[in-house]
Amino acid sequence: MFSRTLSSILAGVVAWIGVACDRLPGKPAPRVDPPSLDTSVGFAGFYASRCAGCHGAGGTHGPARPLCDGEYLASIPEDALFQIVRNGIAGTRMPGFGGSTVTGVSDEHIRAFIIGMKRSWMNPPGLKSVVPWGGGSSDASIERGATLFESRCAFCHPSAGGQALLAVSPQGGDVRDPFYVRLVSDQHLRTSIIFGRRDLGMPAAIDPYQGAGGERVAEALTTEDVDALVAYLATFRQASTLSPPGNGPTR
Amino acid sequence: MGGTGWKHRALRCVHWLDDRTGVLWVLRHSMFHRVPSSAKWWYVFGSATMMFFMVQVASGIVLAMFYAPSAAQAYESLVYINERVPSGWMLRAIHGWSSNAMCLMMLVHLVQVFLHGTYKYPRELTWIFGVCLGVLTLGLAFTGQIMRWDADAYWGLGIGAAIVDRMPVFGDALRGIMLGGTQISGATLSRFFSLHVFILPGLTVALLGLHLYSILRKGISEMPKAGEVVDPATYAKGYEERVRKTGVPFYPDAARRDMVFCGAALIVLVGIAAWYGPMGPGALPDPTIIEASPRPDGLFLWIFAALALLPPSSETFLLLVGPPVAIALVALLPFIAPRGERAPSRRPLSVLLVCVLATGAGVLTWLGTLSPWSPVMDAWTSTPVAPEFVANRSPLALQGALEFQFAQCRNCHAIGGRGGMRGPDLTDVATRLSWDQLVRQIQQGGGNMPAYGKTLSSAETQALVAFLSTLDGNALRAVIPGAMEAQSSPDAMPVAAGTRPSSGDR
Ligand code: HEC
Ligand code: HEC
Ligand code: HEC
Repeated sequence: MFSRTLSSILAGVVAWIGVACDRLPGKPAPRVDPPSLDTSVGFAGFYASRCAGCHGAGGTHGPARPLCDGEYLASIPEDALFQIVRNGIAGTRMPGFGGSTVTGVSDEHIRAFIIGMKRSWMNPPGLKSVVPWGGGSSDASIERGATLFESRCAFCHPSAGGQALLAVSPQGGDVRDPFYVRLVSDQHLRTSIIFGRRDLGMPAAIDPYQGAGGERVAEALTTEDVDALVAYLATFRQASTLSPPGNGPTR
Repeated sequence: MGGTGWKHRALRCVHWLDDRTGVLWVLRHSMFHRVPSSAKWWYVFGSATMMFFMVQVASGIVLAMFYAPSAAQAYESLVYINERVPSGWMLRAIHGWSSNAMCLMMLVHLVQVFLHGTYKYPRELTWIFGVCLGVLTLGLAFTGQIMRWDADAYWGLGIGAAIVDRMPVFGDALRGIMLGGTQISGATLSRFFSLHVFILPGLTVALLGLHLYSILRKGISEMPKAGEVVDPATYAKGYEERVRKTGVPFYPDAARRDMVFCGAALIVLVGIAAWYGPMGPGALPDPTIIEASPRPDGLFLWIFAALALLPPSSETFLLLVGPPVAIALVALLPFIAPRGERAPSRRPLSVLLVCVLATGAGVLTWLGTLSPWSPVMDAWTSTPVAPEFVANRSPLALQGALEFQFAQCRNCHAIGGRGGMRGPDLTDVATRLSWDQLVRQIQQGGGNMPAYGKTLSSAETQALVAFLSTLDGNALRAVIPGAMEAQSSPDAMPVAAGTRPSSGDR
């Protein structure tokens, strides 16, 4: 008797829920789809949450290279960019954003994101750099790199403890620091030399620079020059002067 | 004619089944066995816990048909259940709330059994199985929260991994086993999925069987009466006699109360689910949300608070030794106090203990809801290193800033007021710590900071310290408004000597 009342109450409740389910207060509001990543709004949101920490708010002035650079975005091959964003760059501090990480982003989203990035930051469409983004040759001359470095870079980038040859501004730090060179990829060195870090005052390959006498020299670096410089800098990875951490600064 | 033929055949089937399995006997015994007539409303909580468990199994099986246990799809599949599956959101709501209800009922059941001294002779095994069921239930609740695979899930895993990490010798190995790798990834979700839907429920069903069997075998206890002392020498005989004389059949006399309570609890559950809806999935996969501060489900909030409040020196000990010892003590209670008074009025110490523990857990939970301690999970990708901390840094220091983001130091540490608040703001850390002290802090951690000695290479450590040692709180000095733009042109004014913070000074 008692349990019959109970079961009819229960049946009533179940039936009511079946009918009224769509109008119950607990029904979650439909998810508002975030704006598509290939729009400038969607791109900006994604960039701000995933990239801005390292590449800087707005794509410049971060510790990692600026991505808000029309020339750079025009020069880096689509597929290379996709692979970098998806898988990261092994052995460096560039994480991958696709695949099976917690925050894993689908391949379609990454492609849309790249379209959004070009829409936002390659506007008007940039010109490709003269020196191609990728490449590098194994028979690049290290001596040539060394000579070039002394003539074109050393006054901004003196080696540790050394003084800048001239009171140039802005002065860079030591790029031949073995610890530094170990932490970055060859491509990073190459990209930095071709496209510079104009936000921090590092000239690109085509920018004029200050010659040994302080005069402005407008002589662009060629592909061979870049190959040679990268090969030269890469030799510092093997430097045997590494001190174990804890023994103080090396600069 | 045909009717009686069918009936006859059906009866024969039943007899055959009974002959081979003894099922009728089991049914008869479990339904109509006599129970003490004093067992009244106090005894419904165990049944309610079991009822919620059955709700969990039923709703869980349906949910598992739609859920995709892969990192890329878990979130999508939950949204799919919420929005596309007819009444799918209701199912998720019921599964989520019923999990809380099950834990709550279990807790009430545990406290009732403890206060009534029911665990004493001869029901030791019933109690031990019950304690194991309790641990399994918490495990189910924890792994279930991971299934949402959002910021909160990530948090839960992070804390779990941090606790496991503290294990002296096996820390690394255990972490690998728990996460399926060194980091939280898709493999982690697969692991927790199989725990949540196969291993733990399987164990729970098995233990539940043992729990029920031992209840049937030793009978349920009578209401405690002050002055009625449990004495192993005479208890069993007295109990049997009393039950034979004054007991009532379990069905329908006692079962009725169980059914009424369970029915009411079920209605309340459905009401809450309908009103409050499903939990999560939370924020993480939404790329437009920047500052998510995850927290665990209510049930685990107090652990969260305890973790943040414990004095660092005792933390490892308390975390690793505390829970196992506490659980072991609880499980062994029937052997510690097998006899004596059962009535709460004669056991003031037990009542006091319950009060103290309840207050403690309550206060910690309350603190947990207020806490600012949770790391900001996505600061490392979303919170920029402001330009003033990038300008005039050497390439190595820039790599250090990147390592600071990449190693997720930023999730706990703010620079320039932005970032996590779990550790101190490091804007002027170089004025406090020398180069060597920075190295030591990073390698050895301490307090609530993990040790990075094993995970960072020497170059990475060097870069980090090169960066941190530029943080002398004077970053703003070098930045004259517009100076950054001016620097981009080749003939900008010279930077005054000394503005480039040089680690070589230290
Ligand atoms: C934790 C810091 C960090 C985050 C977050 C980060 N990056 Fe990077 N990124 C780096 C570093 C460091 C490098 C250089 C690695 C190297 O090659 O040495 C880099 C390199 C790159 C490069 C290649 C540059 C070249 O050499 O041509 C691209 C493209 C890039 N990142 C895009 C992105 C995008 C898009 C995002 C957001 C989805 C992102 N990064 C998020 C640190 C980060
Ligand atoms: C006008 C001065 C100047 C000249 C000339 C110059 N650089 Fe730089 N370079 C900088 C500055 C400023 C930075 C930013 C980092 C820093 O402050 O050290 C930088 C950074 C770099 C970086 C590191 C980029 C990063 O983000 O990791 C590399 C590599 C580099 N320069 C290579 C070169 C090479 C090779 C040359 C010669 C072709 C050169 N630079 C010429 C000023 C200069
Ligand atoms: C889980 C959060 C967390 C993470 C991740 C973390 N820290 Fe910490 N850190 C702390 C806490 C908490 C303290 C305070 C420790 C104490 O009380 O002794 C601290 C202290 C420090 C200190 C000393 C600050 C002072 O003023 O004494 C430094 C330096 C530091 N951390 C650097 C780092 C670096 C570098 C990383 C990344 C490799 C990092 N931390 C990652 C939580 C964290």
